[in-house]
Amino acid sequence: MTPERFRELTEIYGADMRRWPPPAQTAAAAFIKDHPEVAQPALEEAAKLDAMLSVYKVDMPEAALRERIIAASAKASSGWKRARLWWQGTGLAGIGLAGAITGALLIGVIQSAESRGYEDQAYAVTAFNISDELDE
Amino acid sequence: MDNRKTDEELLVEIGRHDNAAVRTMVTRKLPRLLALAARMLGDRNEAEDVAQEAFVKLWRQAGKWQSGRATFDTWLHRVTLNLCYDRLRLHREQPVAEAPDRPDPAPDPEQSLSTQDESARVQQALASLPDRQREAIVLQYYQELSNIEAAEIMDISIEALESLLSRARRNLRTILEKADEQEKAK
Repeated sequence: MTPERFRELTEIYGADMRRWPPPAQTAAAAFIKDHPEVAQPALEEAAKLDAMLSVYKVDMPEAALRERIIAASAKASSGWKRARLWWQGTGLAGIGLAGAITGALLIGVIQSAESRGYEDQAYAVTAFNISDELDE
Repeated sequence: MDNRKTDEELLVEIGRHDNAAVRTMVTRKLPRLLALAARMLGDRNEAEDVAQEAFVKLWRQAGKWQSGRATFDTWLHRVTLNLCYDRLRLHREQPVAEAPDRPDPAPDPEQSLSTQDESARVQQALASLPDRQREAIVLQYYQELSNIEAAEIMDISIEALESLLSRARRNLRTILEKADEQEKAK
């Protein structure tokens, strides 16, 4: 490690080696041992800023906030259930509607086929296979 | 409360609406999320709102979580920071005339006055940094994330992160030294 890179790392990560990238830590420890006259002033300078920054603490969350967040999870959970029920209801209604439309279409097709004297029976063949009925 | 469970295990249980898992997750993550938001925004009330919103996103995503892409912590930090940036943008568009209701940190009766002053001074210095420099120093120094994790959250290279950190520390030193000189001159 060069003196420049050591100084650079103190300016980036501070004086606490545990905050440095692991690959640089070993090389830095060796550098401090070999070049204390370069390493110590750089570390002291960085440590001053670290000490100033460490003064800024954020208080722990209050219990009321914790409970509000937990309560919100229950609301989100009931929201999921409501949404799931809504989709299930919508799905059932959709199936019913699709059945009604299919029935209406079939009646139309059958009437049309009858009026055309069964000229084009292929139109009336569906997944329900009513072609046999038409052949009667 | 089961602290032995991993975040991913808790997420699976939260996806099944397990209340105990919800409690464990909140106890485990809330202090760090709140600290992150408070230092990014410099306002306790707003930080609490952000923390709540971040958890709502967590509850919605819990059942869909796929491990193997980002780590859960990285995702949670990113979500919280995005919410902070939404608010910072809003403040720029609609500047707030009044001071925040409750400055952060709340005064501790046992703290000496000078410690409170110093803390407020650092808070102000941090607030005066450009957003990305503040984000870098908050993630690396205060959240104690590795450079790889911080760079991943910020979606930048390690070199870019180091450049931001270096500038952030240099600026903080200048601001705090100036404030110190002004204080001594009084």
